[in-house]
Amino acid sequence: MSKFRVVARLDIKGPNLVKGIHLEGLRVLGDPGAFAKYYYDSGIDELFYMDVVASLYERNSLSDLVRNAAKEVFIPLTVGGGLRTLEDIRQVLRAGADKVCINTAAIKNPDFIKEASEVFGSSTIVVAIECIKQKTGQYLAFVDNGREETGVEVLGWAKKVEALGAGEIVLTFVDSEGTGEGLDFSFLKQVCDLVKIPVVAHGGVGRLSDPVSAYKSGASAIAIASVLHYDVIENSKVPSRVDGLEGNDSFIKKNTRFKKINPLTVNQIKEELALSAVPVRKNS
Amino acid sequence: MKAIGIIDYGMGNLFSVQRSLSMLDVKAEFTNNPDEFDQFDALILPGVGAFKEAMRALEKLNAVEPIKKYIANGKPFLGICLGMQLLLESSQEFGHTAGLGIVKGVVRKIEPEAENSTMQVPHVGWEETYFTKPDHQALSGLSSGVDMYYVHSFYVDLKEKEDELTWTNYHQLRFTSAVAKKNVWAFQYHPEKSASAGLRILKNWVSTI
Repeated sequence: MSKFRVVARLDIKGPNLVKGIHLEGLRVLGDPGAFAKYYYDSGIDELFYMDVVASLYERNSLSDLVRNAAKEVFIPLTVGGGLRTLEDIRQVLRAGADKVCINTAAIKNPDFIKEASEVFGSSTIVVAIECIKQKTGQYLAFVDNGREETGVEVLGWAKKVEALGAGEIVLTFVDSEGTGEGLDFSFLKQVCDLVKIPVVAHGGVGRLSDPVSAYKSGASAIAIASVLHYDVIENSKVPSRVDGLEGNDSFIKKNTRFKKINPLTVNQIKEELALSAVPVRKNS
Repeated sequence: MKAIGIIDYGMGNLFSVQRSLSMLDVKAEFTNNPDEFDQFDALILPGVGAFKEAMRALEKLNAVEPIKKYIANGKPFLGICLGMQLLLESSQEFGHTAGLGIVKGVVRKIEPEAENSTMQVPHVGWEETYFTKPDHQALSGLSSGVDMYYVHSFYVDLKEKEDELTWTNYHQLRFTSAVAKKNVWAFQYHPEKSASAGLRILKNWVSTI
């Protein structure tokens, strides 16, 4: 049985680490390299970089960040955001990514999943599904960070993504993302029961019990952003530095506190998982 | 300074191997020219991907005989992931493909035993890794049961069990996850992606050069 993975999700805009709520309202938090190194040293199992505006602007600019991270971080790196062609994928893999994450390009052209997994291997191809529950009770897949509706129903899409050769699914709960209010565990379980490939649960971790519940719902990993980032910032664990003019940096400059989110450390999360008999990697 | 060559035959992520070595203050160069092999004090065969395609790529570079010769000469040789599997006699991937034959045994596909098995292929993730030879230099400073990172759909089935260095369980399957045969060390897992424990293995290897 593989270890349940604790993944740090790093949303990137231009040169900066950012964080939003419901994937929107991005605030600049600092230098992604410093956060990456800190999480690596703290025993995180994987880093998941997402260029959150790449699809919108049809660009991908993560290669440099990944190239730098790969120099001092020796764990798997997953990279997503604006990857539209096999050449885009090849480029981030050459920069040091182990897996790539696609969403918009997969929904626009599902055969892209098949092509990419045939060329790079299933284990390299991760498909992100940003899901939002509708009033009808149905869950629909969105793209561009929950901004654009696709009309694609999530359960059918997850099954199709698996059949096309994806090696992993990242299921993002847009409604709870950035809120710390917990994930939609019953829907998470439905998706995990449906597919055999690993599912990474993402969007809404706020309490120590959330990663445990994700494991019990059948997820293979939990992707966490806010609670980890806020611990780093509140406790000044990395030097604060903000580059460029991309994004709203008043948050970090004013030293504002996050009111709704309780910070958590990688260690606290792993200890809680271990106490609940969830197999986790020990940081040796 | 010792010179390490990483054989570049177009399969998989070579850069992370190179970077992890630079973390240990060792410089490694890529090489796709078998005439250069002898200039290196040690060689690494990395790789992720398909066995048949990889053997074809090595043949295209005329690297098969030079690799065998290099190993026969006794210099340190490190295989990682597909680079470990290629050292075996053959693979059952898409029929039968001959390998380098340095280590006796075959490469088999990971197959769930039952239809309703939750076993996932490829096997991707962190797994406890147990030591068959706990006193071997490769494992110095590490304890049996240490977590290593795996990405593979095939595994190595050895003919000569004394070549086994570590083993791993994946669901019902117990497989050889590393081999050590004289100057050849090879790992199914990725030391370059297995955090400090993986770096320790690379450090142990570098110390033999």
